[in-house]
Amino acid sequence: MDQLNQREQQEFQKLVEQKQMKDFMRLYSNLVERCFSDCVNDFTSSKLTSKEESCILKCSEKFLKHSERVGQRFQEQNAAMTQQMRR
Amino acid sequence: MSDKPEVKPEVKPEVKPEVKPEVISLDNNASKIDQSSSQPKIKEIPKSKGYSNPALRAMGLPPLRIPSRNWMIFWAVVSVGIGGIAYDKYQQTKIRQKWCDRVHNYSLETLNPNEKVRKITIFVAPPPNSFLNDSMYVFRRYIKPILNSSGVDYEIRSENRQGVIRSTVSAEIRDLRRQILIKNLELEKLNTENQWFNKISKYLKSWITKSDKVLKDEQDYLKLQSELKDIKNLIGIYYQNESLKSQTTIYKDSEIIEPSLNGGVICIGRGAYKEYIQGIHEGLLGPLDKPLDDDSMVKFNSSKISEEKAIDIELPPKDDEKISLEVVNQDKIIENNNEDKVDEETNLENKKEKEEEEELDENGEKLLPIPKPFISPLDYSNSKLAPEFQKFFDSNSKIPTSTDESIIFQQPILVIPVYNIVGFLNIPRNIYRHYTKRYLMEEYGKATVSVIEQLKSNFNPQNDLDLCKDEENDWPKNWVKKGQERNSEWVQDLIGDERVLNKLWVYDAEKVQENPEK
Amino acid sequence: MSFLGLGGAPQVSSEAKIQAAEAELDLVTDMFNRLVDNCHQKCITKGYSEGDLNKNESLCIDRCVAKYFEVNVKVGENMQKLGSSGAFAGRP
Repeated sequence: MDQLNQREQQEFQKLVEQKQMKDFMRLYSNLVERCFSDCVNDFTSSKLTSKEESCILKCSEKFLKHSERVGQRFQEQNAAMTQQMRR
Repeated sequence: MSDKPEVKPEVKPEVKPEVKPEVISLDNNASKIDQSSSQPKIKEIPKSKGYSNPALRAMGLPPLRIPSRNWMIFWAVVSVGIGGIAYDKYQQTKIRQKWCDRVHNYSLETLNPNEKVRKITIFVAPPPNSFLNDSMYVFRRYIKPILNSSGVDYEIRSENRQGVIRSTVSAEIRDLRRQILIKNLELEKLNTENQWFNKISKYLKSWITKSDKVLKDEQDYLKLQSELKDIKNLIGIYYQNESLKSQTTIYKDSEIIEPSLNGGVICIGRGAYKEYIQGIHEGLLGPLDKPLDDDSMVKFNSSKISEEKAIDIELPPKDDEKISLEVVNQDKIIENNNEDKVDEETNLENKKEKEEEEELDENGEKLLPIPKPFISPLDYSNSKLAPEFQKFFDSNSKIPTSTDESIIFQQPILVIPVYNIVGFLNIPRNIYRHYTKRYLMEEYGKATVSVIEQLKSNFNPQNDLDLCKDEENDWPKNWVKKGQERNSEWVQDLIGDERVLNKLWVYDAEKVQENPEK
Repeated sequence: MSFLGLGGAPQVSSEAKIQAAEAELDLVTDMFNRLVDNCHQKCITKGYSEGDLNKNESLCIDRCVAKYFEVNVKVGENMQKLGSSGAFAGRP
């Protein structure tokens, strides 16, 4: 990636932004699927029960915090690894 | 003797033995006393059952077949042996469970995603004449489960040779001293600059603005490059989330102001404890630079592991008998101590030669020599106590580190003994110890809980230098003698300087309450 | 961010360069997503009692990420060893 010149880098930046948006969408759908599979098991009615609602709330919070934490650790480890590789 | 009636061919046979009521037979063939019945018996009554223990018979038990006396002795001995061990193991798990449950609630506290938990440093040293695995066994069995169930992070620093812990600890302290020294110098420099250059800098700025545009383009380019490499612009979770992008990692311990309530140190083994104390003294009282030899600070392999895998520096062969490893270990101790003796007599050149000779060990791998202590224990009272840290000592505040947690010697210490006796004649003692491990579990569990609950007390210079001194009774006498001849580190008495010792803290297992009110 | 030494072949056209960089990006995001899924599976219990992570889970996540990276590195090394000995055919 260091070999791109300046103009290419600007083009690249748009690409990166697009990718980030796509990844965000993917994260969202992943979260929905996960909370559904973990929390919703009772199909005797077509409306969500209050228990399921609270479960979904906690599930989504937890997953987002989990993603954040993993992201931070990922960054740290990434930085450590690139430093090691440069040595 | 009972008479058997004669069998007549036409009459139904009576085979049952008749015992006449007057005759009370106490002999072995005790059969049922039966009246002579007129009714013929159809069934054949089986022969008498054989030997029946009179003791059992006296107790009224029906005649059982029990094994012979020898077998009974054998089974009794085996079951007592196995039962003792089984009981001990069962009690150990119970006690372990008790301590784990006691601290479990600490792990249920919540954390923000950018916060990091309190981290304990654990120094492990192998017992004399033995492998690192023995000490790690103590750690894994007794301490690790409790630490894991309490949500406390730990980092293990182990060594395979004497002196590694001491040199790493003292190097750390020296690094910090240097950093603070540099910072102080820079601050002073800035102060003087501000006074002088204020006028001049304004004038210079007008010159700089002309060449600003060129610089700005370059800066933009660099910024772009770094942004593209930044993972925060790539991963979905950071999408348009500026507050998340600017979050920094907070170490939970950095929020606690009192320096002795940060982190913690556990020394496993009396040797590790000695080296740790010596390392602290060396770091605080010793010089910043290596004496005699200014160039090429020698790097040393101290294995840092965060889990169990011990990176063996010299790859001791684990299958061989301890005897061969003892030779190897002592060879290395000889090498290191030869360096000590030689240095005192010869000059720099000779020393470098020796260092080059020692660098290859038995496996042909490069073994970097452990640096000598920068200051000997006898010089402690002559030297100054870390002037860079003086203002922090006076105000009892944390010495600033990169993570804002307190430096290692400000954290309280816990010492866990590793009992390990070798020798053929000591086998009975060893067996006894195998049967009584539950007491160790209780003791070590309590000590670990004191670490987790941070129950500390001041270091007592008279008594606390002798923490776990009874472990030294286990050290093989030959090993100790040889160590004394060679002046190796572990066998020397632990000398401490009061100025340093008064600043240390210790975890107190006595303060752990048996049943906390909850 | 040259991961595992990929994207090192010098290519002239800017299109190709951008494609190579894009492939690298994809690798990184893919790795991150797998990491999130796996660590969630292994570390976080299903019965959601509260919306916050507790200390145990946080520690577990930290260690999970560290180990994942180590595995990544080790597998990379092994692949290079096996690849150089010719055990794999036609690996791009």
